[in-house]
Amino acid sequence: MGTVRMTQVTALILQAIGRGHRYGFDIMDVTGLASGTVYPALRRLEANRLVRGRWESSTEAQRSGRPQRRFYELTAAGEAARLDALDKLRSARALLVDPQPASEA
Amino acid sequence: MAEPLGLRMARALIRATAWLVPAGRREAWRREWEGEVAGRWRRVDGRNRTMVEQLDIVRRTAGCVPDAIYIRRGEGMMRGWMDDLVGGARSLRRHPRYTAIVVVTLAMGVGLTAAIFGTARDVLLRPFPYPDAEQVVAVAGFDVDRPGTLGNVTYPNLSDLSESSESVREFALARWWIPAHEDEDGARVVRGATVTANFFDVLGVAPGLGRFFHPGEQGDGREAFVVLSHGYWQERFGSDPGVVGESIRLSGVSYEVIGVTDESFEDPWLLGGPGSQPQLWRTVASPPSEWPRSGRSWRGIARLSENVPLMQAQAEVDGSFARLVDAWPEHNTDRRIALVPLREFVSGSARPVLLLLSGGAGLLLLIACANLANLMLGRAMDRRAEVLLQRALGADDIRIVRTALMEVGLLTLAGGVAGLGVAVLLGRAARAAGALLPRPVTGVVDLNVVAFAMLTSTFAAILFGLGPSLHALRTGFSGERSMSGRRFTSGPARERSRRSLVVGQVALTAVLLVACGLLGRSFLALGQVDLGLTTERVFGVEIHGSAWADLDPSGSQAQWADVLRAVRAVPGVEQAGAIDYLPLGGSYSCDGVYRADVPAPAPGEGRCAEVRVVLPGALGAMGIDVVRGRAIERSDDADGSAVVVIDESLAESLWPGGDPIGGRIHVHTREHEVVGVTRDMRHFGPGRSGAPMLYLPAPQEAWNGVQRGLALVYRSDGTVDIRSIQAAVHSINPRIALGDLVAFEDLLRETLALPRFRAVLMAAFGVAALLQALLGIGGILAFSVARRTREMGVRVALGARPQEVRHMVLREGAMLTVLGLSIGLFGVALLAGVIESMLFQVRVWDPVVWGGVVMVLGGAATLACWLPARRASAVQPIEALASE
Repeated sequence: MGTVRMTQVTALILQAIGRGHRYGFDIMDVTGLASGTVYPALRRLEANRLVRGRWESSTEAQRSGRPQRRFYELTAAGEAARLDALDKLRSARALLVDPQPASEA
Repeated sequence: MAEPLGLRMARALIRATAWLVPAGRREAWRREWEGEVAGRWRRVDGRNRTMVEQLDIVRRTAGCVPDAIYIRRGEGMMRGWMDDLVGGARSLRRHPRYTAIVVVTLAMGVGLTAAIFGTARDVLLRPFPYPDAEQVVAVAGFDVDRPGTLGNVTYPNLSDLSESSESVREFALARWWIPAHEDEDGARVVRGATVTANFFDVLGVAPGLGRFFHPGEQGDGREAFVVLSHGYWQERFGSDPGVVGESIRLSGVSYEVIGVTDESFEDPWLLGGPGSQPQLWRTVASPPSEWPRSGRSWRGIARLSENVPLMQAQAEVDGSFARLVDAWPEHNTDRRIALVPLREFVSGSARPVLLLLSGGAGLLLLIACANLANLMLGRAMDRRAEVLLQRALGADDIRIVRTALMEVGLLTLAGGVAGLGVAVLLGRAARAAGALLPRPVTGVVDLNVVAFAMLTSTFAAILFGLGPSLHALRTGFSGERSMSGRRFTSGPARERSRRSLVVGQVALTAVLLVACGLLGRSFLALGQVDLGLTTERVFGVEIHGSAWADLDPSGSQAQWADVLRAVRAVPGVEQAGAIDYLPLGGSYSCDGVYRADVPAPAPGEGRCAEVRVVLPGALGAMGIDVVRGRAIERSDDADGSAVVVIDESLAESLWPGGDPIGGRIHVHTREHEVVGVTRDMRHFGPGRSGAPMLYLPAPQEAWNGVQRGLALVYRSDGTVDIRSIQAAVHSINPRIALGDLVAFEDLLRETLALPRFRAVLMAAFGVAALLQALLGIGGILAFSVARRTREMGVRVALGARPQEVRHMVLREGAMLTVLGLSIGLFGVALLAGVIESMLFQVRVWDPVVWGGVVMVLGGAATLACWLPARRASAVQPIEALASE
């Protein structure tokens, strides 16, 4: 297992998944990233075991009358990486812009 | 409910991209993307499925391409390959000008070649859709002294031939028949054909509806059956299958519709080209014996017996026809019958044009190949620095070669796709212009030709361009001095071959430009020919129908006189008359004519003339000036003495230097007194001088049936509406059927359409070739300047002025141009015969055209040299050293 360089893109995607936006298109919506960026990044995160892709249950899909979708969730390592990234972001922000700690909405 | 377009596009994109994903993961990958698309689509369900939503989904789905590529690369299997592809694409993006020029060059070469060969294939090569189409031949008559001019045949001759022939299974005949189709909406003139009953059997085609004629249904006075064309059935009967078995009235006679041709039926184009093919067919009513052996008004077609070669059938026909010459020498002496493969017969006049164009397209492809080779070589020069860098970074040679190959592959693909686009567009244009060609053009792009053109150009690119650079890669990088690139390309042999490529290009361009100039001037000359008649504000209307059927000759005459009087009374009409065939096109008869005061000439020796039957006023309305004597007048009726008006060339050939007025000539079956001489008129349009003409008064020509086949001609002040003409005619008799109004100016334009088409096509070719040649000259000089930067720097350092360096480069360009031009003009001289046949009143050696080509090509070449020359003159000694 290699390590993932924490870029703005990976940080954003980890945050999005951590907040419950678990599908690829939803991640695009909240992050504003293009699908050509989101998916390769997800592949990379998955290969490094920071996220785990799973298929939703078939009963769920059948009830909505559509094919199954694949969703992504954070692994323990992923959650740690997310918090780490958040910390770095906070301190960077404190340093650059805002004297008060930013609160999450 | 059909799926929305956006959703379908997204799915197609996913499916098309899936092959990039390694097989083991492909299915899951596809399901994930499709699930995502479907999920999103559900979310906007009902409320908001606008185009914007659909586009959004497509845009999101596009991300599957980078995703798939990412997975593939991560997988490592084809990693190198993908990297090379990406590397090739990146390097092309860094050189947009080079990429654009290569793609345009390829697109031009591939597109033009495919379009032209496609058109030539449709017209010249596509077999007719008949079973054993090779056995179907056209039967044409010709004079032994004019074997190139294939014409009509006579019914009795063909009938005799068919009785004695074994190698020809059947002969069939067709001739125009222009009846008026009358129904409750009124009468309308239609294009029909009278055929022998076996016409469709000879072709071997099956009807779309009903049946075709049975063998017995001809020649016994019945003409009761008619077959409709698929097009006419759609247009006039709304595709009603119930029409079979019903009766329709054609020129006052009732016909039973027995069948409709199949949609796929292709007329053998014996009578007219696309746009004027027959709309219906009937069988001939009278037996061969009742048709004159002198009247050659039929077109023949035949099916050879199985496995009989054309030569054998022709030999037998020659033998049989020799007996007909013995039996009827007065009609058949010096005539022959030729069996001509149908494709050859039909493509006739278009054949040289299309062959010329195909040759042009081939040349252009060659030029494009040469340019590609040069461009590739230039690129190889550029690449050397990149290559050195890559090597320094540890890339192996295989990788470097692969990237270079990938670059060429991508370029070829892009050029090929663009070429396909060009070919499709040109194909559409060709289909639109199809009415000018003797057979319809499908406009379908020939993928074989596209593939061939692409392969040829790629091969040329690799052979001439990439090959040497790869060779240099292997051998040339061992030393440190290779940065200068001199060892790359400066072998004298290679240098010479590159130069000869450019010289060849200029030569080919010169050939195309001269051809284009000559055809253009021919076209202009055609427009300035004195036709001997007026086309401005002159109109013709074919008048047919049963309105004359029950009148006796004097009644007919009276009705025509009334019609003309009524038309002349329409405000705005200046003159009006009638003639049997409108000028500028139409048929060719060539009836024998000789002076009555000399013995009748031996058969086949007499002169022939085009006979036109007119009513008073026709010559005046058409602006055919009478230069001596008088025109046909109202007093020249059935009771008057037989008179004729002849044209100047007939007068000159019968009475050389003498006065023909008062003389007597023999036409058809009797003598006529010459009462007037008109100026010569170019009946067949400006391009053909045609036979001499003579005009007979219609009332004295009862045989021709005054009651049918005359066209009204009138000259107006330009304000006359066809409806007022119609009203005037119908005020005399409402049953008279009028054809379409024909403006003489349109007729003239039609006769000029083919030459114009030719000239425009050649011009397009010439421009394309010129662009390619400029690219070639500019390219090689730029290359040469780049290669000699050091030399020039040294020259400047030694005190050469910038102008001198500039002149040196210009001189080099001029030499190539002059050499190419000379070879090209020499090539034109070799091709003179081919070109000459398409020219009109312009010689191949036309000084204006040759001078023009020299100036255009020379000027353009100077321009192309200018940029490299300027660059050369700006070389600084320092730069020259830096380039080392």
